[in-house]
Amino acid sequence: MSTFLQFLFGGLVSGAIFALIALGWVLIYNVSGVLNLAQGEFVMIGALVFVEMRSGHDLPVAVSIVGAVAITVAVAVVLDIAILRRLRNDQMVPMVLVTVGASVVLREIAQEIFGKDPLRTKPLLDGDPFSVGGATVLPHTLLLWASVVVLVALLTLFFARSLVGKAMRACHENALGAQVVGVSPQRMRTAAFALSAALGAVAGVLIVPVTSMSWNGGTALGLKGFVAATFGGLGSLPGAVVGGIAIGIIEALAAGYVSSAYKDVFATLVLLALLLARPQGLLGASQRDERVGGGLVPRLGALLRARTVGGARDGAPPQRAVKDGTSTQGENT
Amino acid sequence: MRKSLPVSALVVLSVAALGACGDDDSGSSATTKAAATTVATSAAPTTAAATAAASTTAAATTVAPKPGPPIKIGAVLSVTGPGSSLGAQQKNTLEMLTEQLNAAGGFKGRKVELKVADDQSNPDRAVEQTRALIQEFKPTAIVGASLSGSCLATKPVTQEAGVLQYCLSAANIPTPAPLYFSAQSPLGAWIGNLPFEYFKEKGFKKIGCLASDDASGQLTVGVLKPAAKGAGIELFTENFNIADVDVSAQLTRLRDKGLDAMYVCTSGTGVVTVLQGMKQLGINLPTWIGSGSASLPVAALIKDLLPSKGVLTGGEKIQVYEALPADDPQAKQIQAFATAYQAKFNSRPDLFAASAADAFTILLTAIEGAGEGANTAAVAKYMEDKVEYTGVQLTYNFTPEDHRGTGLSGIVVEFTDKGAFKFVKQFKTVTDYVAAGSK
Repeated sequence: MSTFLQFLFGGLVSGAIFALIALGWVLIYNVSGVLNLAQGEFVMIGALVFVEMRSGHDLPVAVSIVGAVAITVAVAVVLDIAILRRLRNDQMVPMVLVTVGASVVLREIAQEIFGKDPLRTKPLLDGDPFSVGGATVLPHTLLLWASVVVLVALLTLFFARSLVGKAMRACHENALGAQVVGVSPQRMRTAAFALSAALGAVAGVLIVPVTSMSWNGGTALGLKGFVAATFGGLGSLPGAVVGGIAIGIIEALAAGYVSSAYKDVFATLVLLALLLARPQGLLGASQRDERVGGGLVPRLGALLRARTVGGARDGAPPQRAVKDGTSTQGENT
Repeated sequence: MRKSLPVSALVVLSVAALGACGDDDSGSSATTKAAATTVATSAAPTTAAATAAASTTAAATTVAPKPGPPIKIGAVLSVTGPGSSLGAQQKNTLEMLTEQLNAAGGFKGRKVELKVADDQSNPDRAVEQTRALIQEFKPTAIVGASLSGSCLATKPVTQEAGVLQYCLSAANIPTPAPLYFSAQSPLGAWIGNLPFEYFKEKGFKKIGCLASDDASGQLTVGVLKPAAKGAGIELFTENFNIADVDVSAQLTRLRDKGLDAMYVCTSGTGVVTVLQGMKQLGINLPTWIGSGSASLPVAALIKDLLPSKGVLTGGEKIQVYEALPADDPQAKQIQAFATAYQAKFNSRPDLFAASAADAFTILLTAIEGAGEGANTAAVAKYMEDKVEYTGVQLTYNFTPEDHRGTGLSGIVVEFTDKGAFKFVKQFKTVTDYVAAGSK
C-alpha cells in the first residue's frame, strides 16, 4: 500500500505540472484556435526569471514570483500583439508557425540573458520529508499541489463569473457571434495568451527547485502539456486538468509496476488507445460523440467502414481520425 | 628515445605570469625572461623540413633564430547549444593561450593564428563549420569538436582533407585514423572502472543506477553493465526521461533492493531530479555521479541536495587544484593555468578547459617540432614518436596504436555543499573491469 501511495504521489507531482501547462494550451486554443508551440518557453521564462530574482538578486520570494509571472505575461502579450496580430492571414497554420519561431527566438534570448548552464533555487518550503501512510512527501510538494488546486479554482471562478472570462468563452463558442455583441476576439486572444503565460510561469516557479531549468528545458515540458491536453480533450479545461494528472499517474504507475524503460511508451499507448476510442479525448465536447457513437467498438467499426468504402459516403466527417483514415485509403487505392 | 617538453610547461607558466601582470612586476618579468631564455636555447627553429623520422631526433641547433610563418590552428567547438558549458570554456582557453603566446612573441618565435567556429552542439553544423574552416582558413590542425557526436561526424572531413584533428571529447576511437587524435581519459575507464574500484574497496555489493533515456544515460549503462560483471557487483537499473519532473517511482523500486550505493547515470539537470527524489524518499546512500556531470555548474546546482553519505565522482586534478600535493608532477602547470584563467574570466576553469589547453599545446609542439613546411602526416608522426607531455589535465604519451595517449588520473572527488569539489583519494592503479566483464 505504501509503495502504491509513493507511486501515486510521484504521479501527482508530474501530473499537477502537466495540468498547469495543459491548461495553458487549452486556453489559447479555445479562444483563437491557435496551438501555441511556445507554451513550454513560458515555463522556462517563468522559472529562470524567478531564480534570477530570488537567488541572483536576493529579492523576497513573493516579489520574485510576481516578477516572474509579470515578465512572462509581458512576453506573451508582446508576442501576440506585436507578431500574431500583424499576420494578415488568420489561418491556423501560419499562426502555429509563428509560435514555433517564437519558441526558438525565446530560447536564444534566454540563453543570452541567463547563460547556458541550468539554474536552480531552493524549495519554496524547505524541510525534511514527512510520512503519509508510509509514503514520503516533501513540504515543497504539498505547496505545489495546493498551488495547482488554488489556481484551478480561481480559473473556474474566472470563467464562470468574470466578464472577461465570459467573453473568452463566447469567443470559443462562436467568434462571429461574440464580435456581434461587442467582444473583440483579438483582445480575448491576447488575454488568453496572458493567462496561459501566467499559468506556465507558475509551473516554472514550482518545478525549478525540483528539477532545475535551463534555456532549452521548457520545450519538452510544453509537449508533455500538449499530450495531456489532447488526452483530456483539446478544448476542454477540466479535461486539461484530468488529462495532466492522468498522464502523470499512468507514467508513475507504469514506471513502478511495469518497467521504467517503457513508461513513456506505455503512456503513449494509453493515449493512442484513448484517441481511437474517443477521438475527442477524455472530456472532449460530447456532441461529436453522438455522430459516430461513443465507445471503442462502434468507433473501430466506423473506421473500418471508412476504409472499405473509401470514405466517399462519409461526406465530410468531423473527426480527424476518420479524415486521416479516408485519406490514407485514398492514397492506397 | 623521447624528448620531454619543458617548453610547453613554460608556455603555461609564462601565460600565468602575463595574466598576473601588474600585481607583481618583478616576478612576472623574471618568469618571462626565464621563458624567453629557454625558448632561445632549446628551441632553435628547425628550418629543415624534417619529416621527423626517428633519425632526426637531434634538432638542428645551429640555425640562428628567425621567425617562421604563423602556425594556424582552427577550432570547432560547441560554444552555444546544449554542449556550451564545455565549448565556451574551451573557446576561452584557446583564445587566452593564443593571445598570451603572441604577446610573448609567439610559440618559439612563430606567431599563432587561431580561428574558432561554433557548431551549436550540432554534428551537422560541425561538419559545415569544419569544411568552411578548412577551405577558408586552411589550418594545419583543428581542435574539436567538444562533443563526441560532432567529433565522429567531422572525422571523415578532416581525414580526407589531410588536416590534423584533435577531438576534445572522450569519444571512442576503435581504430585510430592517422590524423585523428582524441583527448580525455578513455570513457569506460572513467565512468566504469574507477567507480567500481572505489565500490570494491568499500566492500559494496549492490549498486542501483537510475539512468536517463538519452545518449549520456544509456552510454553510461552500457559501460556499467560489463564493469559490474567484471567487478562481481550486482547492478540494478531503472530509467527516466530527461524531462521528467519526478522519479520517485523508479527510486522506490531501487530502494527496495537494499542497495549499498547509488549511481546517478545521467548528466546535467537530470542529476537534480534524481537527488531530489532521493531526498524525498530518505535514501541516504553513498552516491556516484557519472563524470559527464563532474562539472562546476552541476556542483553549484546540487549543493543543497547532497546526501550526508557523500556524492562522489571521477574527477580531474584541475577541479581540486588548490589542494594538489606539491610533489604532484602536474601541480605547477595546473595551478599556473587555473590562476591565469580565473584572473582573466573570473570563473573557475573546468576539466574541459584543461583538455583544450593540453590539445593546443600538444598540437603547437608537434607542428613546430616537425618543422616548417612539414606535412600533417609528419606532424602526426612527430606526435606519436616525440611528444611526451605532462599537461594540465593528464599526461600524454602517444603511439601509432594509441591516439589518446593517456590513462586515468584515478582521482575521486566529492561534491561539497559550497558547490565545489573536494579531493577524496587517488587510485594509482585501476583494474579494467569493463574489459573483464565484456569477455
